[in-house]
Amino acid sequence: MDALKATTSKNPIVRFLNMNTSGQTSGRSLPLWRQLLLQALCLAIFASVMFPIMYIVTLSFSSKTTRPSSLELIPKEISFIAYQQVLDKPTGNPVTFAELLKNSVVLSVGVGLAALLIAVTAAYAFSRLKFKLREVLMILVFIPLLMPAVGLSTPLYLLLNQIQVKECSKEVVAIQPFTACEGGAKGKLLFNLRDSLLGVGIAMTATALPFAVWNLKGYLDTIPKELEEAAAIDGADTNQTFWRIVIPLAAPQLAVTFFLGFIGHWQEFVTTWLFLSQPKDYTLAMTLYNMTGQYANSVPWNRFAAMAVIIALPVAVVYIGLQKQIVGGLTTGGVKG
Amino acid sequence: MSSVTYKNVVKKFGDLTIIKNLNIEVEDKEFLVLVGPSGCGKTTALRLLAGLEEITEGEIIIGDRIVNDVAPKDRDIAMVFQSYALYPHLSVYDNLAFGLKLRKTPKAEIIRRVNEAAEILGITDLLERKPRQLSGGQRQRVAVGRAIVREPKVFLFDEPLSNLDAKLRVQMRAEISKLHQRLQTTFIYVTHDQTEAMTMASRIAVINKGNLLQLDTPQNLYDHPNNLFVAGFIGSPAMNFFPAKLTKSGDKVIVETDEFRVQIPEARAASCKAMDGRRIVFGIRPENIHDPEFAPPNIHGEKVTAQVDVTELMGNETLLYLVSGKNTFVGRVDPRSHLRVGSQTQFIFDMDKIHIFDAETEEAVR
Amino acid sequence: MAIAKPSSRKVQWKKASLPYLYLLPAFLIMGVITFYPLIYQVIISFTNFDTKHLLLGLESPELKFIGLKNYIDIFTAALPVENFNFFRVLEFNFWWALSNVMLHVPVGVLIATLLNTEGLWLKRIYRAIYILPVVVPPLVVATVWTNIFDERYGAMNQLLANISTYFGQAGPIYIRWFEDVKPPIPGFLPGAPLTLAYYAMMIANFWLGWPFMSVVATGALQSIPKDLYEAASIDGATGGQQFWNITVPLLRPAMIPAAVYGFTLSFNLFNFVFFMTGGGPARSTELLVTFAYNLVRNLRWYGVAASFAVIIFGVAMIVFLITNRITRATQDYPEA
Repeated sequence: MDALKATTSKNPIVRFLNMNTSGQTSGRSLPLWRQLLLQALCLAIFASVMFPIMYIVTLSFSSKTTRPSSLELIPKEISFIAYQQVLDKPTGNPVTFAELLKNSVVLSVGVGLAALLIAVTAAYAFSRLKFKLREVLMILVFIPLLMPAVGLSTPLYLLLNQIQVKECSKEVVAIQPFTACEGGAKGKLLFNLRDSLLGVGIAMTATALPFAVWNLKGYLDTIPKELEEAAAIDGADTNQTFWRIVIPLAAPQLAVTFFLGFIGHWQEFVTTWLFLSQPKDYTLAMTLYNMTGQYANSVPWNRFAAMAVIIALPVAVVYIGLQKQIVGGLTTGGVKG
Repeated sequence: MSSVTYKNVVKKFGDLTIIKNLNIEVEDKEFLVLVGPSGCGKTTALRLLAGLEEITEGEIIIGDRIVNDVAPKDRDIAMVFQSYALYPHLSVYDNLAFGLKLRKTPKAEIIRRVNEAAEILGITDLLERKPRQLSGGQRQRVAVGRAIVREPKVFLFDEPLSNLDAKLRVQMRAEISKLHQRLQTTFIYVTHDQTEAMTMASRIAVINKGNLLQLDTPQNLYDHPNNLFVAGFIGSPAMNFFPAKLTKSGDKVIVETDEFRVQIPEARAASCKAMDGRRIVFGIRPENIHDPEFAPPNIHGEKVTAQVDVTELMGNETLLYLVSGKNTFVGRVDPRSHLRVGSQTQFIFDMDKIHIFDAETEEAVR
Repeated sequence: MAIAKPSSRKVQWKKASLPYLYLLPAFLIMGVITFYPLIYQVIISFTNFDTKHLLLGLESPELKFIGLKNYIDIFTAALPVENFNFFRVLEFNFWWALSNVMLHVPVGVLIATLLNTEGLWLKRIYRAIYILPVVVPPLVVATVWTNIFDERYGAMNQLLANISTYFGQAGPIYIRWFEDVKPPIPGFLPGAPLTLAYYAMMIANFWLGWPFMSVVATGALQSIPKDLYEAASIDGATGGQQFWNITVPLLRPAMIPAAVYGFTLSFNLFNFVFFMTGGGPARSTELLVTFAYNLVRNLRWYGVAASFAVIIFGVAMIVFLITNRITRATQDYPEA
């Protein structure tokens, strides 16, 4: 049964990593010539997968700021200068790496958590509860999924931009559009919701939320109904069933949903690039884009590579860290053999 | 008092009627088994009683309360699910204690009850484990234990043994029977397996296509099935049926099939006379068909010629698959029988044990 | 007989309203940050909203309702933007998504099958490596590939130079991947020329795309009972026949939804276009989403951008209805 459990996880990537690879069940062994042929094929694929990765890793370990004029896929030197410089002074702007990191983390974790918390009860209602408007409301929630992020960001950009805090004169502050400065004075802009992490966070949540509902509902649908019926007979009302049975059982998927939200927004730059204009609000992803974008010719390429590696690493690491929890496969065992 | 009553109960899912006017009275401390083929509505009947489905028409009464609108948790019932439905994230102990905790039972009381139930079921060593670390049989015990600790008025079982292997099933059957004697509570048990029903029940309700066909003790059900369906469903191997016609000749009543004619004994003849000339189904159980060599004396035996098609030697008995013209039927004969495949002989039908059903209404003629 | 008290009206009402209570947080927030903006978008799509109206929005006195003008301008290529033709972009967008999926799915399946070969050495290592493209953030992937296709210093040209030395052609190669306007295979897609940039993006997206399909295919391969293959080999089926008659049909229920997902993903694939080509050269690699972003971020024609977003939504709806049909029709085999 344990072998079965490992391969029945809902997450295809988990299944991929956990399947039986010993080859011991094999009835007959592979003839040597075929083995060698397949190995050659595998190695070719291996090389093509590693090609861009090795290229960028090699570049990041270089002490020269220019790109090599011939192909280098294996580091000639291991220099951490580029990493040091990136951590020290990532951009030409007076903004520290810590600030960029903080912005990225605040946005990605915040949006991931917010979407999850808001979505989970709705997902449960759609998955399990019976009510009149179920179909209609479900379609309503999933309609925004069809709209690409750009399409939803535009109106939010315009709407959030209208919410501004202004200093009309000393001690007099107006919050548009609710209050305005006297006599139509323009006043000094203190805060523009559009041009803030909060505003971007709101815009990101708008797209993340329907996805979180959809993702969680899909998982809750797979939790056996008998468990909730058993709880009902044991004396649990809907709320107790939700908190004491469904939430613990959904924990792996909650983690997955959160992580998908995190991963998506950690590297987000479409909305941030559209909304944010002040360097102090920039994220790591925006910085990376900035490095390749306008001033590409003067880019210190080893730093660019180091930055790319730094952005990629946490995603990969969190992924590996979460494996175990995802694999838990909690529902196997409780129902049937 | 923990009697259970279904009164004119109807259940519809949309246009589909699953249960048509069900009336059952289950007495206090009774072990009632609802049996029928899959999709007959027996599980729905149980779920209506548990409160997991809403009843369309009629009343369900537990004790002296009409529980139509009472939530499952307030019905004072416990249920063992076919899939066990153990909470995968809780230990065995917490699985058992879950319902008690929700009811704010004092901690000492919870511990006492859980330990007691664990002892009854022999799962004391498993209390710390998670369901996925248990074998099928152990999970089954935990599922029963979760019901026991609640000390409910009525226990509901929904095909609890169907996921176990054959040997374990026989063992658990005996244990559930023992549990019933020990707890002295009303048990209502759903199964599609007539053997389970026969071995455990104090009374059996046979359900088909949403109708209650017969409700009686196992022995009565076996000896006096009310209709063709019950006759065919209860007993293994199943009763043999022959399409036939009744004819009267003088005082005698004859069953006439395409292949053979047999006379009905006088004691039964009276009730059959009214059926003169009508089409019937003639039924006889395999054990009432005898090898002429070993036929018991003093029975109203009638001879029927048939050929042996297949033999199954079981050791304590022998099953013969017989062919007579277009009819094929099974005889359960003495193991000493010398009959082999291909033998043709005149088998003895024990006419005192026959069953006659009206071919149109499928009701028994007595 | 005591009749149990039927639940009071209050209890009934509480029970009926509970689901809505569960929905409340999501709908409250979505109402403000999703539904209202979407409606707002439709409204301003009929206006000449631009930077002048940013502060006051709909309240702005100069804001004019101009009916369907934005939509007409988009469809008739009347926007004062160089090289923009909506239908060409649409055609390219569909072709882009389709050609990607048509490449990723078969390759993903084949490599999954390769890795599923019994007795293959180092399987575990290959699997761990082949999954890397799925794990690396697409943003990084896009920037790295942009760099790789650089004309002077890019790894791709360097690699080609290395390879060509084996054929006796020494010297660096400078292919202008993102600038060359002349399509290498003329007339391949009528109406929308496929420039070299398209092929560069295909290569980059291929690197990213097949491993995902491979992951899905591997999961599905594992669920095919081994005895099917054993039965087939006893019946005399060769490896190739087994692949076509067992593997392919049994993978179909898993691969079709994955292909649909891949199609949608490629259809709206922002990163590669934005980083690598910026939609060029001559807008030959522009996708609907990148053009929409251009309208907002660079041109700042918010009214036109809103109309464009509404049109994209319409296209997405049509794509969804079609793909949904395909997924449903091929969802599963009826229980045998």
